Amino acid sequence: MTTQSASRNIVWRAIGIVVLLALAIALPFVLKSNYYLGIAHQALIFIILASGYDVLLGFTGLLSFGHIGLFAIGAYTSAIMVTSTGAPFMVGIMAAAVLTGLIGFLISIPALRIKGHSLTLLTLALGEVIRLVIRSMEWLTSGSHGISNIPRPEILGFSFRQAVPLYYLLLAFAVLTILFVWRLRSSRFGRAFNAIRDSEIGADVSGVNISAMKMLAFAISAVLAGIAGGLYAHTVRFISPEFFSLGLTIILLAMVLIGGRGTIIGPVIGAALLITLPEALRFVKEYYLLAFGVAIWMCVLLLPDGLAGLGKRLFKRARTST
Amino acid sequence: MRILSKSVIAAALAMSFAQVAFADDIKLGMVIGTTGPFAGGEAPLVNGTKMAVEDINAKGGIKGNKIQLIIEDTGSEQTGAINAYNRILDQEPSAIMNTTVSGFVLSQMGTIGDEGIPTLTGAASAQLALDKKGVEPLFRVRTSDLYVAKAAARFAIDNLGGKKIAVLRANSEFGNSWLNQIQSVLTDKSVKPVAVESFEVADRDFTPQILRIKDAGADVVIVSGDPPHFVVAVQQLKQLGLTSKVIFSNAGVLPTTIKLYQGDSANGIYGTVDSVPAIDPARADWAKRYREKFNIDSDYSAAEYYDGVMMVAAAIAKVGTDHEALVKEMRTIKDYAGIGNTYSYADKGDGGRSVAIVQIGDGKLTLAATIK
Repeated sequence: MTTQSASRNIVWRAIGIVVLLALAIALPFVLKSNYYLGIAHQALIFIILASGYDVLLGFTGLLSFGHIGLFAIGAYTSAIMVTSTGAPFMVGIMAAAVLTGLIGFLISIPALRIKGHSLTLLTLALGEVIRLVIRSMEWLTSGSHGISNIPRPEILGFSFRQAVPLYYLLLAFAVLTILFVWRLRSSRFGRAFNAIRDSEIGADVSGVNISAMKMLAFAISAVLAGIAGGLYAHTVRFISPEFFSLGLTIILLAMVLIGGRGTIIGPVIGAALLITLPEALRFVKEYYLLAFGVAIWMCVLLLPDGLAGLGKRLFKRARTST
Repeated sequence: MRILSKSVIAAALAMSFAQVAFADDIKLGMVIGTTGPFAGGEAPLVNGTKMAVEDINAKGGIKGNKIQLIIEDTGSEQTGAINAYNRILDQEPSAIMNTTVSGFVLSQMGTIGDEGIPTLTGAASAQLALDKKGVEPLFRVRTSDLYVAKAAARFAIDNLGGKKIAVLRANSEFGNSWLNQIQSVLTDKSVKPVAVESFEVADRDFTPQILRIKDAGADVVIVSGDPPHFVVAVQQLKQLGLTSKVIFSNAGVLPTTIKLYQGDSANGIYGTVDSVPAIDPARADWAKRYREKFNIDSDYSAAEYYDGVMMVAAAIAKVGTDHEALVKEMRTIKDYAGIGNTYSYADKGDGGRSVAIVQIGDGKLTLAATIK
């Protein structure tokens, strides 16, 4: 690639980002209803979660089925901190990030010795164990009753109780996450993650510290899951173990795969699509699951690189034809 | 030309009057599962609500204004319930008839409190009471589990003479709420349960749990869950040869659930209900109309949602559609005798208090006891 075409690419990307950001900022002026804003809240939270999950799955090639467990821990940590101790919202979010990061780090220790299907099964069991522990620790988590009356975020006296300010707060968290993941990908850590994904042996002989990098990928991914969990708890204001089910793990996996794993924009598109699609397909009523399934199936079949890959292909084709 | 312009003006006037009439319709929202696993159990609530709306509209509406019912589907999912509630809010209803799934109502609680729209629910969890996690605009058209689950436990010991009680319950907010209430009665009566078993909401096989209950030698088993659980439980209790007496929580004796039991497999099983309008002579006219309309026997939940709409309508007739005034007016209701229950919301009242025990026999219900 010539220097000229590389700089042209950067300009196009910058324009794309500015347009997307402008659209995101303008969205509440178009979507004035609580319903649409509620959907946007969910989409932004899942953009954070999916972007973090992509660090593990897309960047490093580690398939974990326990990620929703970390999301749940983040939600419960922040909710318990704020409702039980009266801690401020940001303290709750930070506690969620630290605790899930630590747990992510601990999970990575056995993951260093286990690979492939065994790792997937281990994380699957872990996700379920986390859910069952949350349910059993009634003294702390209220068990199946769940935790309600979780307050909406408040930072330095400014309340994000209303839907529009809350949207901008979640947007800020999502933008920061995307920027962080973007920087991470182009850093030496990101390159090490990609090297492990493409060939672990190759990465090893090239001097990449496999164990440290895997631990780091798990921890970063877990921190972002914790933040997303905390934000979810303060947005919905009620959490219970039922929500953090295996079904949600599958949806999260679909977000990254359909969006395009290993990319920055992929999890963003995937999360936005999988949150809005069920609502958009509501008109087909009981056939919704069928329509949803067919839509997902078509995506996987026709878009092996996800929607981000499709965008790239179309962009390339447009450039070669001109 | 003049005739033409007069006609146009007349048509425009007629249209504007029609629009005024339409604008004066009182919107009643309904957030309910019309698809997914809870759709069957929540179908009677839609029937009861529709019947009440039609009855009110047939009498000319509320002060001449017709009620317009808007239904939004929860998809039987928590996120779906939150979204459905928000969709209804966008249509600016005067009041909302909400789902009976306690977990879903808890997840909407923040919005219900913020918006202040009178929201009526048939959810039975004790957590929804105003002195617990409930909010002012939330009204329960049901008897709280605080009374129903305790009534089941008392019936097991006092009426059925149970000495070895076992509990099989869904691992959910509802199932655990039942377990807590049952255990409080058993503790009061110095009875220790011989088995306490649970199942996940998505489970459709209770073989290990039923076998453990059988091994424990239970003489009465109390089962709490949702309609799909009871369909499986009825079949497996018989297949595995459990001879104990069985008491189901409310969803197990709904006419929509009973229809799904095979042959006489459910004969002899007891169940808790708030009331039995279908066999109550005082409710015979209403029950007959319901049966003719929906081609199925009425149940307490349909009757309670019918009552809920009637209470809202009476409040609107008195104070109008302002949400704050409506909530205030509803909070003055005391001992309102409806078709399905007697309701009180004044002095932090938590809805109904009546509980009855019924027994299934050849697809029909008979009253076994009224619990005070």
